[in-house]
Amino acid sequence: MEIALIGNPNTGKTSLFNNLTGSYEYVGNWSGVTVEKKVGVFKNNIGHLTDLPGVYTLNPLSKDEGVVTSFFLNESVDRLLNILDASQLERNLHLTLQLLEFEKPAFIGLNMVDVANKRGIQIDTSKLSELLGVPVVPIVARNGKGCDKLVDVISTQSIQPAKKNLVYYGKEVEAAIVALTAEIHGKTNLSGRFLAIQYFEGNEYVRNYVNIIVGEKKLNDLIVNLESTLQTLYNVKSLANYIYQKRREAIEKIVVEVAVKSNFDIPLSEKIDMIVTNRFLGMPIFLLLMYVMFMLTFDWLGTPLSDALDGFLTGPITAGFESVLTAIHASNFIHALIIDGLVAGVGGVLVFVPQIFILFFFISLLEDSGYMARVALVMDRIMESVGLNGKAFIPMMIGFGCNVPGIMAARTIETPRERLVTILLTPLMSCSARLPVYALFVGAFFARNKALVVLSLYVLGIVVALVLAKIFSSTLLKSEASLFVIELPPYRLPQFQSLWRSTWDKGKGFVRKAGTFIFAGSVFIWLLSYAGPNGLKVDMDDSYLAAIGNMIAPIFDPIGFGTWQASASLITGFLAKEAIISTMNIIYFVPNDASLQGLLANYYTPLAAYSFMVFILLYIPCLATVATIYKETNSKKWTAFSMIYAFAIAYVLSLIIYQGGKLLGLV
Amino acid sequence: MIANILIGATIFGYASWALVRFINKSKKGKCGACDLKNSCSSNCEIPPKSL
Repeated sequence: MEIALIGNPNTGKTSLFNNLTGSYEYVGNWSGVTVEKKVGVFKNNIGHLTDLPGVYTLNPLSKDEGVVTSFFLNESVDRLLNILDASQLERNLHLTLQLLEFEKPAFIGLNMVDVANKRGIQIDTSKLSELLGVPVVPIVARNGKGCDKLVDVISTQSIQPAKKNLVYYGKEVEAAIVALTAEIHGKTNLSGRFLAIQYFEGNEYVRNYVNIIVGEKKLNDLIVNLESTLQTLYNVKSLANYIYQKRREAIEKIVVEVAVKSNFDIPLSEKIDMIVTNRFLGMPIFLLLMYVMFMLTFDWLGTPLSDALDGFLTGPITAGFESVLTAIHASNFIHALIIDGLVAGVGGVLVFVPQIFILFFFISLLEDSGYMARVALVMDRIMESVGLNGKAFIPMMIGFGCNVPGIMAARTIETPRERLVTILLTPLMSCSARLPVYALFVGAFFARNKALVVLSLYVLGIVVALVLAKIFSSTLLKSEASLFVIELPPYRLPQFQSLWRSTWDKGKGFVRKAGTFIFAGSVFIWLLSYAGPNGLKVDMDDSYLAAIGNMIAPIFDPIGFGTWQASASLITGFLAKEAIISTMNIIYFVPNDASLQGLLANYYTPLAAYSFMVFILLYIPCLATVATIYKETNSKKWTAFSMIYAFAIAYVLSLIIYQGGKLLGLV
Repeated sequence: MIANILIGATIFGYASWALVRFINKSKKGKCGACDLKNSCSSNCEIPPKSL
């Protein structure tokens, strides 16, 4: 027996699916779209349960949603299991009524009855079952309550398809339904009424299906006549709109009889949302929260911890290594390799672990509490005005942690053009690997305004992305507007354990990279700085590293850092952004971070430092990101474009900042 | 003397290996470098291996 599980998004389908099935039969992808296809085996082995994507109506808005209609048209299904959210009955019933028109045996799992009760809504399930003509079982999918009863009810063989016509669409439409049904009679096994109504509503998949079995021209005339009649008689905008109204009237009648609403207070979640997603307050509140987050990361918590770690690494750890190496009579080469190369390079990156973890902790806190969904809403207005899909917010948000998963997340955007724009712009989101560089420089040059300066860099990345989105959408990559619908989950206080796990998941990649790539990179960079054309243990300015750096240093003269040291660091930054810090630590070899910061003052002015940070924010995605862009776009052209335009934008902005700043008398 | 060679060889050996592995993983993009690639179904048509 084939059973289809279908319902609105966020109604607990996945929980129910897991409760009803014992094992997977198949997990993969519906072809051509990104949604997962899950087929499970019912627990008491009565058949297969197919989990269909959540939709509000059968008429699809996107290819992902179209999977549902395709399934009904092309695959065999014996029973329908419709899951409803009891606290959102009116909205959910639109889909239910369409499913009942399909004329196959159907069952309803009325989920979230507990949530409805909390909101003061009581549902009379037996009355609902009587009105709809199908069994209705109240369940709480989250903990499995009622699911056994549901399985019993579904397995009963004697259920007949509900023959009730729940919606009367008026004289004219009903006549048209009869006419269309007559046309397709004998040519399909599917319910004529279902196909007719979906056809009239404009369901593209149904239209294609029906047009193949009946001539399109005949039906076209039918539709056009019907629509103009309705528009004249009832003053509706369109045929689809009329059908929706009729359905809504039927639903209202049902709800009045089965749902009892008692007085209840507006939930706290909604009260908070009225402020947080307010048109004018939303964005400033978000910026304020970001500012507080950065203050904690840099000023209040992160830097003190980081300094302590730095002191530990450059003090006891270094001394420890020194004494061990001296004790075993290690050569100067090995001494320098370990102390000047490894400890400096790897240590230089590890000292920023406190800041990284604190930042990730607060991001996890904002995500798990549900606030991030509100931010997506606040940003959506702005994003749509520059031609970005509101869904692009998620990839970009992830990109703030690491660009690679951010770009992968762009798969949720259906329109290819918008997806490409999102992929191209995500690298502009300042990833966590760039944070150590900012931390180092703001500590040296902007000690009193650390949080503000770093915030300005993050904001600059976002602003540049928005401006470029506007430019891309109006020139190279025009696309049609698309819909952005998001459900806001209720706020909740995250549990410490899940918070810690989220933070650790994000942060462990950083630590692991330090132990592997940064380690390796430090070794080789140190070697390049130790050896030169004239032999080993040369003056750094005569080393191979300097030679390489000097080759491209002149390019960076106009933007304030035309030194071989900066160039060499930037080159290593292509492989991994953290490597910039490692390289600098090795090049400017000094006992500890504090003196490094002092030393930097000899090579950079504050203006040049800011220009350098802006350059690093934008200049090129790291190797892993470039590879991911290539994999996701499958186009060498766009991958090359992403690298070139990034460099160009970085250069231009650094130029404006540095030269403009000099003109203004800044230093 | 032997300590020097031993230490040097270990460090350079590990560093070379780590470098090559990192570059290869980076070139593969996300899935190649991911720990969960044997059980994740986010971009495959076939069921996960561990089932």
